[in-house]
Order: sequence, then C-alpha cells, then structure tokens
Amino acid sequence: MSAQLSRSLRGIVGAAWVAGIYAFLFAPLVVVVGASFDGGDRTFLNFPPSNLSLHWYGRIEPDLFQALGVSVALGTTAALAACLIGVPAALGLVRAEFRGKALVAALFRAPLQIPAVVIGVSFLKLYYFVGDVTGLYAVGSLPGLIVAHTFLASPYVIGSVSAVLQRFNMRLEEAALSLGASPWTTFRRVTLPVIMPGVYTGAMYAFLVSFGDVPVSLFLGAGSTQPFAAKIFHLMEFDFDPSLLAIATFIIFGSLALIYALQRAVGMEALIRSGGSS
Amino acid sequence: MRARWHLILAPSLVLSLALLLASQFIFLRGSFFKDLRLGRLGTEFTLENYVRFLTDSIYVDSLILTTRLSATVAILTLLLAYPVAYILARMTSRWSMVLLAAIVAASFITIVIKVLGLIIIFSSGGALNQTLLWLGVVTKPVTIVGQPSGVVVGLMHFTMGFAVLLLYGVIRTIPRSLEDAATIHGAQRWRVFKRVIVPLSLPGVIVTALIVFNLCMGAFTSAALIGGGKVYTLPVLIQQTVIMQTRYAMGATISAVLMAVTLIINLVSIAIAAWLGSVRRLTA
Amino acid sequence: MTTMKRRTLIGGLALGAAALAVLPATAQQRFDGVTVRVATFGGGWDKAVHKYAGYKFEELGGKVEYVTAPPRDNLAKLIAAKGRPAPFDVVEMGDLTWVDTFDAGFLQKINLANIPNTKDLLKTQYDEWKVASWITQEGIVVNVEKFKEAGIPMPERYRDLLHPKLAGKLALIDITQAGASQLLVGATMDAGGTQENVDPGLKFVKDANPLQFWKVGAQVVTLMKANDIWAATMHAGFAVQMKRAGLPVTFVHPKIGTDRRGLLKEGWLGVVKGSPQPRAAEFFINEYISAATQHGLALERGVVPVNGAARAKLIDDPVLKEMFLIADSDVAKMVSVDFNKFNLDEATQKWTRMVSSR
Repeated sequence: MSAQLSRSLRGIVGAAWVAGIYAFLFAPLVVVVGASFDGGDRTFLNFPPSNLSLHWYGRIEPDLFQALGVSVALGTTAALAACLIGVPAALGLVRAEFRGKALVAALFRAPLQIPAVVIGVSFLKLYYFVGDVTGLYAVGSLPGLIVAHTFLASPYVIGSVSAVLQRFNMRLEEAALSLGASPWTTFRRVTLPVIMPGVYTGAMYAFLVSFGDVPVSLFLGAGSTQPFAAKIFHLMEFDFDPSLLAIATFIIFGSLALIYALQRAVGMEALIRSGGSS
Repeated sequence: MRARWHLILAPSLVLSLALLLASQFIFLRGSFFKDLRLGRLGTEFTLENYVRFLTDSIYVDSLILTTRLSATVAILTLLLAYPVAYILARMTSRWSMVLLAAIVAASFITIVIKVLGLIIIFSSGGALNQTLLWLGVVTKPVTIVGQPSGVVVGLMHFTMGFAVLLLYGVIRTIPRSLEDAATIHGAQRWRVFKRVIVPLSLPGVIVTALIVFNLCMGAFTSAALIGGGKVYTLPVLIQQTVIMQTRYAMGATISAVLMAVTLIINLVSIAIAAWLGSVRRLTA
Repeated sequence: MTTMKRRTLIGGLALGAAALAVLPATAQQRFDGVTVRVATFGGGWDKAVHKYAGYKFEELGGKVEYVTAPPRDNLAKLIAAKGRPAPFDVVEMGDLTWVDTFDAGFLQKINLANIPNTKDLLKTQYDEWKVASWITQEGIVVNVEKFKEAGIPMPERYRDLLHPKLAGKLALIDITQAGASQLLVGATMDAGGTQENVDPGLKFVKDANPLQFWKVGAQVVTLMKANDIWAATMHAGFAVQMKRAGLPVTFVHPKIGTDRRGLLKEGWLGVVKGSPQPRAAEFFINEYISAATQHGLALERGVVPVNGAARAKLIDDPVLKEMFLIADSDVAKMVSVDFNKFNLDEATQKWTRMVSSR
C-alpha cells in the first residue's frame, strides 16, 4: 500500500514538475499568441486581447514569408553541414585516446563562446580577405551565410552526439565486426541508429541556432538574402505592430506541424525510440 | 584499429580549426596593437590592451558577473531540465513526442519577441505579481527588466529546451532494463536513481552543463534586451566596444580574454569530472 | 478678375516654359542599367523610402538595392571593406555615426548642384559632405493619466524627472542608441554645463535611476502600456505612435536653460568614397529630401521633415501638431549636439563605468 502511495505521489510530483517547466517556457508565448488575436489598431502588445480578430494576420508583410524561406533554406543547409562536421568529430572525441583531447574538445566548442557580433564582424573581414585573393566575394550571399552558420552550429551537433556516444556500448560494434561486417556496414547498421537521437537533437538545434541568429546575419546578409530573424529585429527597432505577433504565432504552429510531418515522413519517432536499447 | 578514430576526427578538426583561426586570427591579432579607433591599429606590438583589461574594474567586474550568471544558469537549467528529460524519456505514451516537439517549437521564437511577453507577465499590476503580493511571497512587485535575475530568466528560456533535448538523448541510451532489474531486486527507487541513472548519465550531464555554460558566456541578446542597459556582461561590452566605439583592438582583447577564460573553465571542469569519475570507480 | 486670369495664364505659360526648358535635361538624365546601392535602416523604412523616392530612380531605368542595418553596423561594414570597392553608394547615418564615417574618410564630396532640393533645407542641414535626411525631436514621453493620478506635476525639464514618485517608473534611452547624446547634452546644458563636459548630464542619469535604459522602442511602448513606466526619454515620433494607438500620452520638449527648448537629432546622407556612380547617388539623395518624400516619411514613420515646405504641411495633422515643434521660430530655439565639442566616446566610457558599478 505504501509502495502504491509513494508511486502515485511520485507521479504527481513528476507531472507538476513537467507542468511547471512547460508553464515557464510557454507563458510568454501564450501572451504572444493571445495578443496576436487583438482587434485594435495598436503599436503594443495587448493582453488579454480585446475584440478578437484575425486582422493582423492579413497584415503580415509578404516579404517576411520570403525571408522565412531564406531562413529555412539556410538553417537546413547549415544543419546538414554541421552534422557532416559534427558526427565524425564526436566519434573521434569520444572514441580516440590521445593527449590534449580535452583541449581539442574545447576548441570544437569555441564558437559557442565567441559573441555572435564578433563572429559577424570577423567573418565579414575574412570574406573580404578571401575575396581579395580569389576574386570571389561571399559577402551578402547565401553561401557566405551558410559557412558562418555552420561554424556557429557545429558545436551543438558535436555536443549532442558525444553526449549519446558516451553511453554507447562498444561491444556491440566489436561483435558486428567480429561477425565479419565491414566497418562501414557496422557504422551504418549498428552505430548510426544508436546515435541518431543525438544527431537529430543536434541537427534540430543547429537549425534553431541558425534560424534565431540576428547578429551574424546582420553583417553577412543583404537584401534578398536577409534571413527572417534579422528582418524581425529591424522591424522591432523602429515601430512595432501586432502583425509580428501574428507571424510568431504562425511560426509556432507551423513548426509544430513541420515536426509532426517530419515524424510521419521519415519515421523520426521510430528512430528516436530506437535510441535506447530498451 | 585504434588510429581509425583519429582519422575520422581529422577532417572535422582541420575544417573547424581553419574556420576558427581564419576568422578569429585577423580579429584577435588586433588585440596586440594600440587602438586608434575606427578599425585603425597602431604598428607596434603592445600588451597595453591586456594590461588595461586586468587593471580596469569595468572589465574584471564584467568577467566575474558573466561567469557567475553563466554558472547560475547552467546549474539551474540542469536541475530543472533533468527531471523533465527523465520523465519524457521514460514516458511510454505518444505524449512524450508531443511534449518534445513543443519544446522545439517554443525555441523557434526569438527572445526579442518573448521579452515582450515576459514584460506583460511580470508587469507590476499583472496577475502574477498581484498573486505573489497577495500571498505575501514578495513585498513589492517582481520586475524582470534591468535585473541580473531577469537576465538569468531570459538565458534559461534560451537554454532550457536544448538541455531537455540533450538530456533526453542521454537518458534514452540508458537501458530501462537496468532500472527494472534493480527495482525487482528490491532496491528503492531513489537508490536506483542515485546508483544507476545518475552515474551512467553523468558524462552526458557534464557535456550538457558545459554547453549551456559556454552558450551563456557568449550570449548577447538576452543580456542586452532584458538587462535594460544595466547588466554589462562581456558580450554586451564587446558589442558596445566594437560597434559603438569602433575600438576593434579593445573589443578583440575582451574577446580573447573571454575565450581564454571559458576554455580554462572547460578544461578544469573536464579534469575535475575525470578525477571524480576515477575516484568513484576506485571506491565503487 | 481679368487681371487675375491673365496673371495665372502668364504664370502657367512661364511654368510650362520652365518645364520645357527642364525637360530635355531630365530626359537626357536616364539611369538605364545603373544600380544604386543604398545603406539605410530596415524595418519598413527602406520600403517607405522606396515608395516615395526610390521608385523615381527606377522610372528612369535604374535599380535601387537597399542594404539594411542600423547605421553603426553599416559603418562596421565600411570598416571591414576598407581599401576595397565601395560596398554601397549612398549611406544613411545617425548624427553620431556621421562623425565617425567622416573621420574614417569613407565619404566623398557631393556635387550640390545635382541636389537642387537643398533649397528647402536650412543652411546648417547640408554641406559638400552630407545632406540631412530627417529630423527627430528628442524629449520626454509622459503618461498624462498616471502623472495626474499620482499628483506629479507635468515635467518641463529633464530634472523634473527626479521627482521621488517617479523612482523606478522611468525609462531612459541607452547610451548605445542615437538620441543618448541629446539626453546627455540637454541635461548638462540645463544644469548650466557645456557640451565639452557632460558630467552634469551623467549625474542626472545616475540620480534618475531608471527602471531600464532602453534599446528597443517596442519594449518601452509595452512597458508604458503595462503602466510599469510613466515617462521615457525618446523622440517625439514614439509619442505620435503611442497616442495614435490610444495611450494617454503627450510629449514634452524639455526647457534647457532660460531660452532654449527641445533637442534636435538629424539623420544624414552621404556618398561613399569610390562610388562608381556619384551622379545616380546624388539623384537619389535629391529625391529623398523632396517635399513629397519628406512629407510621406513624416506621416508614415513619425519623423520631422528636413524639407521646410513639407514641415509646414504638418500643421494639418492634429497629433503631429501637438507632438512636434513645427514653426521655424520654435525650431530655432532647439538645441543641436555639436559633435566637435561633445565627445561621445568619452561619455560612453564614463556612462558604462557609472552604470555597471552601481
């Protein structure tokens, strides 16, 4: 009986904890979403909204959607590139034994500690320098943004993949190898499925970092390559109107739908589920 | 066999290092020359920018503040995120996927917009403050702008989702069967947690903590927007020094110190963690 | 009656003749295939500029590209591009950015003959290096209702904001924002100081102990709406915006000393050194300061026109009339910051030291 009691008590405490954290994360978003349905002609955020209306949704500037497209393309490419750099790096960091490993790990994490403004300025300088030598200027171009965002995002993939790898049982691989599987097959069939949750987490965050970046985009983007977050930042600088809240709401629900579609399409759920050996 | 992992690491290391050095070299090199503003540098090698950093309380105080805030956020985020990650990882219903997706969706919204929501929530006449006042928890309304504690809240918004996802991945790799076996053998739930889950997830926890910490050391937006121009962390100072004052050499100096200090804290933490691990193994 | 008609007729003929005289000249001046790159603010400002000025350039066969970022970031781009082809042709600068951009040698001389619209500007608003593009009037936005409720007298000067009941209910502009110079200089001069040494202004900032130093306008408006702040130092355009959105605010142009009132801040346009098409840049600048563009920007974006003809028309709008100082005699009494005297760099360092050591 007491076991029963402690179990349900544990359940309640756990549920309350999760609820508390979600309340913390979502409270400002509830305000944002709520205020986006305000019917008034305002330059501030009105919550709770009065005269419910969708009229701010009709006033979203069309070029914000264009910028959103840039951000999605940029984020996806940067996340992919970050995985190409990050997965091998994490494998090496966790598996290899060598002197100065901690230092190498810290170097891989270095982009996290450089304030993004500095990354923006220094990549701008770098691109000019490279342009002087090669004649190819990456300033204001999508490839230029992709390289800088990959730099910004790769530590997330390295971090999340190595966090998962730390727990990986190498005997599984050894068994596969001893059964005659090639190293590549072993990696593909044994290692990759296990580290996949880490890869997804890392890629997701790499995408998010790129998507949310303002300072780097401010320096490296221009005109039609200006990503969404930088555009929003500009809009907020001058004046504010609730159509920004409307597009924020659109993004919240859009990203939920996108994640859901991804899960259905590539069976991500199954992959994440396969993460544990349970 | 063993060399394989070095080789796998090599291309990534070369690429990352090339980007790091190429982009930072030109910028950081400036820290060793006299600052003549507007991006102009003196011609003679000098350490005077570093001397200025170490002897001027603005910079040293800001370094201490930045480190303290980052450590606070790292600890709070981990303490709060770990149970959530654990519960989500052990949840058998489809809800765990929905909850994870929700965390990602929340992270899509920039802090620039979230701040406006936070201002409404923490407004002095708002429901939250009125309730807290009524309950007697606080004697005057809690504000968020212009406070270091507000910056902590903002940074936690920034890092919490990532921490939950990272820890989720870590805990998923701990076979549930281990826990079940221990419970069946009569071990109490708390002991199982302490003896099985915590030690097995510790490496992942340390990686997560360091990532959160590093992220905060370099974070600009939260400190700038919620700090209300009163919370001068190093990234805020760097932005101001480089963009407003066009003192590139001094900005580079602050950057260099920030990177060096963060690097050292990372190395020391890893060393301590390794030492703790070996102690644990010896005593176990 | 008949004389009137004749006069109009003659006037009309004269105008027509003038138009004919001008026509061949403008007809020659086409910009086919020319792209002029303009570094200016984003967030809809670029669109408004294009709607009133940029489209004219495109009507003549050219194309306008906008490079949008805050002026300080655009300056950083010029610094990064130093010694290389100009990254843009026209650059829009805040008052403090102008000084740095000029000092760094990033500007080239303008041929004012190509900018005839300068005739509508004050002599201080253009020279061979720069042309003013807009004015904002810095001062205090006040929540009238809250002041009444709390029994606080309406402020007349910056120092009136030190009222004990306003403690924690103020937002001051942050030192990183254009407009902070005006606050420091205004508070200093009101305390009897000079632009060379703004310590009195810094002391005012310290004593005011605001809830926040603001960097994003939308935050101030939201705080004002939530009644967390009752007054803020910002420019009059924000008061226009808030009033039109239904907040009970008004704008105070602070008295400075005995005979001055209000503070001016200007935006400037310049041509970037090495621009391959200065003629196109100058055409664009001329359209930017035309009465039509300036009037449109004032109505849409809440800035005060530099063009006197456009400024005079603002009297028609009741809100603008309330918030802006429009009459030339009023404008003449406003204080401008002299960046040859006021040292922003030094002030920034003192400010940072003061605020961070609190």
